Amino acid sequence: MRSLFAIILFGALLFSGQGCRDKAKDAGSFSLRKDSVKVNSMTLFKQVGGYGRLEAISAENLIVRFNGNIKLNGQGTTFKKGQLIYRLTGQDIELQKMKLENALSKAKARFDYEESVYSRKKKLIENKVLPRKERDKIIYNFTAAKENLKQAETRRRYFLNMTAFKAPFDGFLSNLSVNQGEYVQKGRSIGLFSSNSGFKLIGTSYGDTLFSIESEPLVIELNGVFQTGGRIMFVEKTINPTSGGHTFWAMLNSVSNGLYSGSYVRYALKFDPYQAPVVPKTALVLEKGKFYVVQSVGGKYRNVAVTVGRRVNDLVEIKEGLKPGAVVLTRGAFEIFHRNLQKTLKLAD
Amino acid sequence: MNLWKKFIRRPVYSLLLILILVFGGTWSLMRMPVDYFPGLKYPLINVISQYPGISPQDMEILVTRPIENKLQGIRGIHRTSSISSIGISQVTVEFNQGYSITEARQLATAAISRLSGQLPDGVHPLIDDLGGRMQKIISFTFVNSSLPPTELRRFVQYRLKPALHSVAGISRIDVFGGQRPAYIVEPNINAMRRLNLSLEDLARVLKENSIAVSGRYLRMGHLDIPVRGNGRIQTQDDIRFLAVGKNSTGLPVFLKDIAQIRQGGLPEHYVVRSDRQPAVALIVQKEDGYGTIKVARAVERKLQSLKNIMPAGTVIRKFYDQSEILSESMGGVKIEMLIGALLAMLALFFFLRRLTPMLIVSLTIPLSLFSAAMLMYFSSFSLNMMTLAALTLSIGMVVDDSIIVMENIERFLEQKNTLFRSVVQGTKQILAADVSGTLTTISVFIPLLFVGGFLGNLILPFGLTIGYTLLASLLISLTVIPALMNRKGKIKKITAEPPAFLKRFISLNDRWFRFGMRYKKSMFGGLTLLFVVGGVLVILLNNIRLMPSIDEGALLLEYVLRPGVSLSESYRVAEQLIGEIRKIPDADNIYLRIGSPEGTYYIEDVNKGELLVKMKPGKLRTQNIAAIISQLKEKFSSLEGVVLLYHQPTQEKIDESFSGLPAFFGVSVSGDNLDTLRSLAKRVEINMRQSGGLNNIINNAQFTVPQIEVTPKRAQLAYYGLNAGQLMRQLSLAFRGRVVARFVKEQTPVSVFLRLPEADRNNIEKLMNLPVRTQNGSYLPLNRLANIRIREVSPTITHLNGQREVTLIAEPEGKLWTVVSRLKQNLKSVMFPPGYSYRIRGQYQTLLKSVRSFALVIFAAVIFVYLLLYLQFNSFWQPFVILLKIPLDFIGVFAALLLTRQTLNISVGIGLLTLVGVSVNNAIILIDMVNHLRRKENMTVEQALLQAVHLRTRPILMTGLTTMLALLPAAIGFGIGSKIHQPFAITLIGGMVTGIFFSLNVIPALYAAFARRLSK
Repeated sequence: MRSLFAIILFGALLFSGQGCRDKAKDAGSFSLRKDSVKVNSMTLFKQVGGYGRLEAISAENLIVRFNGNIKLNGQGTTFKKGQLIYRLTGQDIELQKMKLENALSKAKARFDYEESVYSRKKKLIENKVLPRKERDKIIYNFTAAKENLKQAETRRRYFLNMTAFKAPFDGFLSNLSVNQGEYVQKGRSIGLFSSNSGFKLIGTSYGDTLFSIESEPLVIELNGVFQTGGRIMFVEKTINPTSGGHTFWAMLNSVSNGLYSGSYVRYALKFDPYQAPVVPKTALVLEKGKFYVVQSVGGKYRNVAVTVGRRVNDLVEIKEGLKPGAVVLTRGAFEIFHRNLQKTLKLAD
Repeated sequence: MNLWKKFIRRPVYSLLLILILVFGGTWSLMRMPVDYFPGLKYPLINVISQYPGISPQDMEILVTRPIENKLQGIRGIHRTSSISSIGISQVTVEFNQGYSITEARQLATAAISRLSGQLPDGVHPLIDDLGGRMQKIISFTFVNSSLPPTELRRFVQYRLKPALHSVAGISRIDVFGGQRPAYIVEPNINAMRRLNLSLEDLARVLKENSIAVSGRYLRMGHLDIPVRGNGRIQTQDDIRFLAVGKNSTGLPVFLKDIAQIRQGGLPEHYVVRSDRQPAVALIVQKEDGYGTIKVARAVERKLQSLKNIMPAGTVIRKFYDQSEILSESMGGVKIEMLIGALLAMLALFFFLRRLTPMLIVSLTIPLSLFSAAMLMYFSSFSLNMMTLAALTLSIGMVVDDSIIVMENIERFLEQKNTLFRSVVQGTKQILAADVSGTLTTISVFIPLLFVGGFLGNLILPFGLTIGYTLLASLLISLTVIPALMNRKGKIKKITAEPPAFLKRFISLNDRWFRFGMRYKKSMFGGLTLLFVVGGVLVILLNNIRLMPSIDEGALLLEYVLRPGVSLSESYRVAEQLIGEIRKIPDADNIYLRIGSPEGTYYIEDVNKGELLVKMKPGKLRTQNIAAIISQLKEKFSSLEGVVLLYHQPTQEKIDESFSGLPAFFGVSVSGDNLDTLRSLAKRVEINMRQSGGLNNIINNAQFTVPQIEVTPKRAQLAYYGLNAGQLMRQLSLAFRGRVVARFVKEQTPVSVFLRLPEADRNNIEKLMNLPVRTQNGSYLPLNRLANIRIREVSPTITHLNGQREVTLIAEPEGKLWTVVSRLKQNLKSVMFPPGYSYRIRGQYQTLLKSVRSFALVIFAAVIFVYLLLYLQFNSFWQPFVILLKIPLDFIGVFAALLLTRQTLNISVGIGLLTLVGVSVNNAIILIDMVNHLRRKENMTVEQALLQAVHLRTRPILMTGLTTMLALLPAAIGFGIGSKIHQPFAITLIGGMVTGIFFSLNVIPALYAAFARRLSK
């Protein structure tokens, strides 16, 4: 009995200690997902950037000449030369139009009559059969009727032109400040029609770089999205006291829809293309003011210091430290770079 | 004495006492709050402020210093420290001993309230105390993939939270996650330039166009009708059609023409997920003094009742519930108590072989527990893991007094005395031994009253509860037990013949007794060697940690990346960790938090994330938490660039409660300039490595993070008619953004937030070219008006007592004093510029002080016990012999700890302390009998010793075995709470096993040796 009790007690003590010796089941190993890319070369440009203003080479302020209701051509904002942009309607206009039409009809009718008289008596006039006074009267009446008709046509055409504005050149409508059917008064500006075949960029640049690329062909990027060709026409030598920089004018080959004369844009003037290795920005690790990448070499990783240059969207130029063809980590680069963190970071436990 | 005799004679008095104890105890148990741990009442306050996106330097100047200056003016401050990091400030104030936590909070709150106007707009300091973390008892996440995040947040914050506040006992509810609703206004820079507008202009327009006014009253007939001008922004169109300027034709330009306006949420810099789904978290904190289980259940019932108003498709997941752990622990504790009591009763029956005395003695158990419950209630204790452990573990000890009284009464009965005389004389004879034995046991807990700090908060309730039960058991053994033993005509004839097994034991023990008496020196030498070897082996081979860990059914995995990392990168890592954890079959819910939401007590930056994994209920689980943690440690062992910490949630709250206290050992370098401090820290680090004796030296100051610094060119600014304030405000509005107006929509506050679009502020070139409007209407890029550079700065700035400092942490090995003096010698070679100094400091000083004072108090307790024993035995050397039993019992403890590989923790410490008190009892009753036999029967020392051993074997065995058997369930462990009891039980059982043997063999030998030399 004693022995049994002792065995039970001993066993209970041993068993109670099992809680201290929990064993783990086989767990396998886990490491964070890593992605890598090969370093490629890309054409980059030297660039100068800033903010500027666009101005169309040709632009016409649309000012209405008559009171009336605006009827816009609903086809959009881009028009070819001669296309109708808007028409004015309204009672006054219809009345005036009717008057002019009537006047034209009357003038036509009169002209037809005088022409028929002249035609019938043309031989007699030419052979001087008719008396001089009658001859002169027929000729005068015909001439007057003809002139009258011409005047009536001109007045009608002018009126129609003024009440139905057609695009004087290829371009686009912007700054529209009226709604369809809205009543406008004579003299009001309802928008701006700008030529889309010629725009200039007026901007400010700091430093002397633009002087060296004046008149050279450039790639001009607007708002980080639209790219076109162009060249710098002129750079002011003196510093503009308002902006603190040099004002310049650049000619653009084209402009996208959505940009119009008077738009402020963020520009980038790109020139002197060159080839350079680039990496995605996710490959770069910033540590104590220097940039590094994690290069994969033969299955091992090493931290490589690099000098970075330009950024193009999500890519970054590598000026020094890496050559095309090298393989660098993107996803996982940060953690691999700091792979000794467990030894160096002390935490409250 | 007459009163006592009257009490024994009349059963009605004992019945009355029993009823009072039962009803009083039951009432107290029902009223006592049930908590996980005792309330931590250490007077330490954390003041936490958030100002998102602000650099540590600005945080220090704008927030930390004003708060520190105000708090340092409070009386009774022992120390202040602070951490300023990106967007977060934590100022910690430690008050002197003697201040209660309530006083500390009040003083701190009053000081903070005097700060109004001195802190930046939107900064609202929160006050958190050391025990507050433990009161966060239940947490949920809300997920609804068909609802916009603003709507989900709005519902939880403005519908659920107010409803839950009606539940009694809730002090605070934190809601975060989702998005706070806002209209986001993102102007086009180019469009603004065309109209010559700045962001400040837009901000002004937005602010001025949201106004409500009163026109007082308009009298109409018999009525006075109030006139209300409601110009507040109410809808998106109200914002869209705000006029911001005029175009060239004189027509108004609306905000919609120059800005994108969309419905969304205010920008946040943290992430909350439930199983990778965006979630809103709700965390409930209860008030101190309310029961955890009661409040948690009430919250769940309330949520259940609100289900009908929840948006369709909302999934509620509970990711933390302290009451579940508590319920499960208490279930286990109840089983342990029951089985322990039954085993103790079984042991009694085994010896007494009669039912009635066994039942009488067993009555002590419930009566002592009820009495202790009453005393606990009036001491404002709660029923928590520590006090429950104390109650469970004292079950075996409370019968000791009753056993020796009953046993002595029966001995008198065996001598053919009358019943009443046997009861009276038997009790009187054993009274001194009984009282001194109990007082001796209780007196070892007296030092706990003098253990200050958080440790005292934790273990004092444990010690006092055991003291209460033992005091109650003493009272009952001297009143109820004798009264019940005095039952006329009901006692069976007592045989003087001991049971067979006892005779065999005595016979076997006699051999060891004689061996011990013959070979005293060898025996003492061998035992001394065992003591030393055992002690050394235990310290070397067993792990050491403060608190025992239990299986909470949940895992808290914290990951840390290098400071300065982006939120998106941090989340990328977290997602992958979640993916791996999801593969664990036992994982149920996974909650993720990265960064610190505004308005909460969290202070972590986004390089730290917390994954709380709730496991399936215990019955459905295949592994315990320790095994899962071990599995994960192995799985993530090769994870690079990520530091992982494994906790359990409640355990971590306990550890977190101690945050704000300094590290164990460190060297602090203080001064003004951060760069100088960093370079000095580097030199100190080198010296620390060279001086030796210091391991794992960590210099967190080596970590820096990049910071883009914009400093105005003041001369240029003046030229263009600007000042630095105007420039900085434009920069702030463009990149940080600002809430420029607020209105209430459907009872929910909605903000109008103005900032540049993401595309205009997503790289440094955009920052450098940010157009800044000058006084003359022109726009200049920012880099013409300010210097912009990237600097490396410290991610955190720490202060100690108001001064900047950098602390290098290390782990000393060997003799601490030698290490410190060698380090001081080495540091003399480091040149500290004027205004810079170093100090060697850390918790070790406080702990050493506590250990010193604890050792002093232990010594005083030993002296006190010695004096008690001296008074009882009237001898100088006999108390000394009794006290020598303590190290003898420790041999058994060492063996038990080595055998079970038990982690050395606070439970083991308290077990040792209890053993000190318990182990002397057997020696007391033995030597008491020896002295009686020598005095009254004129026996020689050897004869008296042998006879005393024979006579006292039964009570010694009975008390020892009942205690051990009562502790056996706790030693085996019947629930998750048993991890706290188990170390204590193993310690006591180990000590008592050898204690029984040494009481009957070694103590007699010691007595004989001393008696011979000192002739007394």
